[in-house]
Amino acid sequence: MSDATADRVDFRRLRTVFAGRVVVAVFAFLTIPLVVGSLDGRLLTPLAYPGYLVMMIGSSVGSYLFPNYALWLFWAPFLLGCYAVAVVAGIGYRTVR
Amino acid sequence: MRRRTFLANSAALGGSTLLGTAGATATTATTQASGGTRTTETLLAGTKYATDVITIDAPNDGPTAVVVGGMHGDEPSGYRAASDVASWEFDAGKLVVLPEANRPAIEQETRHNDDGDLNRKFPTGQAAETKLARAIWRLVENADPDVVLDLHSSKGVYRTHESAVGQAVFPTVVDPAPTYAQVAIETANDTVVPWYMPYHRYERGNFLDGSSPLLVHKVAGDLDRPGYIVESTKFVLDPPTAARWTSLVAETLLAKHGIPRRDGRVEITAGGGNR
Ligand SMILES: [Zn+2]
Repeated sequence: MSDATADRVDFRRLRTVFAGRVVVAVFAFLTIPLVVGSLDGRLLTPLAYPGYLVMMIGSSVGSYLFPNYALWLFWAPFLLGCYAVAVVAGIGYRTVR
Repeated sequence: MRRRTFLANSAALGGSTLLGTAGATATTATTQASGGTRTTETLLAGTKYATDVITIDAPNDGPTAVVVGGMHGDEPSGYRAASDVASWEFDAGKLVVLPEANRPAIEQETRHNDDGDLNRKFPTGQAAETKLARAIWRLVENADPDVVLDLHSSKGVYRTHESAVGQAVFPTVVDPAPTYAQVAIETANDTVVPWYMPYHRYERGNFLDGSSPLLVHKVAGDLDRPGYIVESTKFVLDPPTAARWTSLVAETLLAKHGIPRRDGRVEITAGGGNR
């Protein structure tokens, strides 16, 4: 087994951890329904609920810690937070499987 | 009823110069239909503040309401909802609607105009502090309203974000405003706010009593009448949706005060308006 092969295996594992199908699916599930619904309220559906909870809880803590930040800034940590949740979900999924 | 007397006197003095200083009022259109009379005039015509006032006289007698929007230029759901109200037909009563109170600020999409925050220019017991504020207050006094609605947008969510006001309805201390505010809040939460947006449920804000120089505070302090500030949020809510929700709150409040919208969404319950 050469070093090159080991690197490739490692890279593939990293990609699965940080951008695997489960990660992408969970991230999309948390973000897309809320982003779409907040741009046009007619497109709000119950699917927005999980992302909504992440957003409201996150921005509630955020506005307590940084009361002077404009609230729309919390979209950035929201996207990061959803990504973190998605990575954890991906790891959990593979551990259980 | 000292305040009532004062109001009657000032209305008599107002006479023909109902709207503007030095009669700066231009009537642009009057239409008459089965739904009553609709008149559009211009407040402070010929100045940079010039803005439309729509008066809707419903076919049946009833109470009078003043509805204001666009006090702050960066609060689109407030002035969109006020424009909605100006486009409706009513079964009874009279409405004086000022959908875009603060035209200069609306054009710049800013909260303030050159004179600062318009909604801090209405001290109780004193004259309003700017030309525009005085013209608006004169409009209110001359309408001799039974109820005043002031529609706004807010940035965050009440009790969730630091110093954010809402989704909230702030009634004056004057009965029955606190009770009707509660009805409007419940109606909106039951019909337009989806269950999966629990943080966006409307709440009742604190009572307005004249202790701050806000328009509706002055309605309580100087006129001793029911009035409401309605706030809908921009947070995770697009302005057209926030405007629809604000409109429903306004429709409910007007109906409770005996000014039911024709073909409205709000059901008029038996005995509504005098509960
Ligand atoms: Zn405002």
